[in-house]
Amino acid sequence: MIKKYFTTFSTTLSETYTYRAQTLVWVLNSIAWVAVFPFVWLTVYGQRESIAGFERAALFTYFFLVPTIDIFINSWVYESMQHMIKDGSVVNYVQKPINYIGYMFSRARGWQTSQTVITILISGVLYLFLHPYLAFPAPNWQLLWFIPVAAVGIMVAFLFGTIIGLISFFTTEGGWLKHFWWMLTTIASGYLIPIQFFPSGLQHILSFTPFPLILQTPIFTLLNRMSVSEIVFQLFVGLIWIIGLSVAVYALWHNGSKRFDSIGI
Amino acid sequence: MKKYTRIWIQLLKNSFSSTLSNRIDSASYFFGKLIRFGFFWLLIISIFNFTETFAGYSTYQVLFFFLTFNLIDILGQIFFRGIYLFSSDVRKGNFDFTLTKPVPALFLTMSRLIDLLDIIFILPIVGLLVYAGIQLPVTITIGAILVYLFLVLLATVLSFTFHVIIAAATIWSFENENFIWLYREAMTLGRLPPDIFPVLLQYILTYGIPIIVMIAYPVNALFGLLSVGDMLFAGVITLLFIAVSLVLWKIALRSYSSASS
Repeated sequence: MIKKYFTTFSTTLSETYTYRAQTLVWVLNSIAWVAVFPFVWLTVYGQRESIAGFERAALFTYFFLVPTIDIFINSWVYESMQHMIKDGSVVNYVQKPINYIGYMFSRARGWQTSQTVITILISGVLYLFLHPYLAFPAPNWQLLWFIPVAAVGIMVAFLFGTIIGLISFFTTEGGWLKHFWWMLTTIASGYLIPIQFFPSGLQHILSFTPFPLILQTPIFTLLNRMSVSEIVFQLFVGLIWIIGLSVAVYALWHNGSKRFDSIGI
Repeated sequence: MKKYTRIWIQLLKNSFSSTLSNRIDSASYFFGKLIRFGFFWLLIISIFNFTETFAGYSTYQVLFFFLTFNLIDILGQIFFRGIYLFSSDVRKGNFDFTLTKPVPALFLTMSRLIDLLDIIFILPIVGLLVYAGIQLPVTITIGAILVYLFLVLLATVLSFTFHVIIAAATIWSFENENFIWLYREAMTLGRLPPDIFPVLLQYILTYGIPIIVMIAYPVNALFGLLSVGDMLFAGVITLLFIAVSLVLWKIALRSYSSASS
């Protein structure tokens, strides 16, 4: 049962190794996108040591971790799903004795695992130059909370990505949805600035959404900036969202694959 | 020139038909673009909640950097969007058809895809540039505006040369999506004043990948902060990039093996 998904995962890993130049450029893209923000906020800090309870070194460390955590947890599965639905190749997976959503999840993890490894290597090189500006906490048991937080974050991001991808069954152009999703995650998961900088009312609302789990919560867990009760609350919120999103994915796949019309069927 | 304009207008008409036939999708896509733009605008405004000036610039000066970045980025999208189809053309052998047409292959490669939404999107950008220009805390002379427009033109030419280099790389690697996105992500480093970057990075972004020349030079010229030497340098580096990109394109074309060969 699990073996076929593991095979998909390992095949994808080999694929990324074969196209390693492409993977490297993709990773560089992700790093370039976020590279500007530490400089922006360091300029804003000027001579100050702390803004909104965030020390300068902590903020720099936050942005240092953003590309790795983003590549490890976030999901771009909608890109290939939209493509497969548009060109009809999704029909191949309807006929195969493999669950399409599970297959796409295994593939996504394969891609992201190799991309994460490359990002860690690049970050390792950058660390040699940047370590005087970074502030990591000393190793402690609380860091183990990163494992469930990352697992829930991965599921949430994948399910959202799947929903955006499957909507292509019902519309010819899903580009606008990608923009909306990009905008939402960029603001609400803490890409441009930690959510801690937002007004307290907005922070409170966002704590009930799954977005912080995609970026800020995993980074804050690694930086020891969240208490155990805050982490548990975020996990609880994430699990409820996973249930709701899974139902939505099932409904979209069930109805979408029924109305899907492809030449040759 | 007349022939190229005629072809470009015909391609624009095709784009117009395509946009009209997908009205809801086009409108929602355009809306998404506006949101993305508005969101970054808000971010800049938010930055000034924490500081009086940003790298020595006022709110509207920083917004002017952001708007100029958008203007140059969209000009590149309007005229050179065809690059997005190029890797598919090379892989499937459709580039053979481009080569056989009585129009320079480079022109057709760059302009064969035009998005009407880019042309529509440039209108609010120009409107906001005028608005931000009026709010600037410095006096803007007609001469400064003319130099600004000339440097924006040079930036568009530099953008063209980057697209040509990516097209050449596509012929060698059969893949360009990541290259074009790498270029566009690198361009985003110009959204804000370059003074926020370390000196070494500023050198790289001036002499290596001249993003500062493309975006900060026109803006600083408008603010009266650009020397004549810098303006001459902008002209020299543009000529250099034109020469290098065209040589690379010719070399790449020689190594292109068509689908039928």
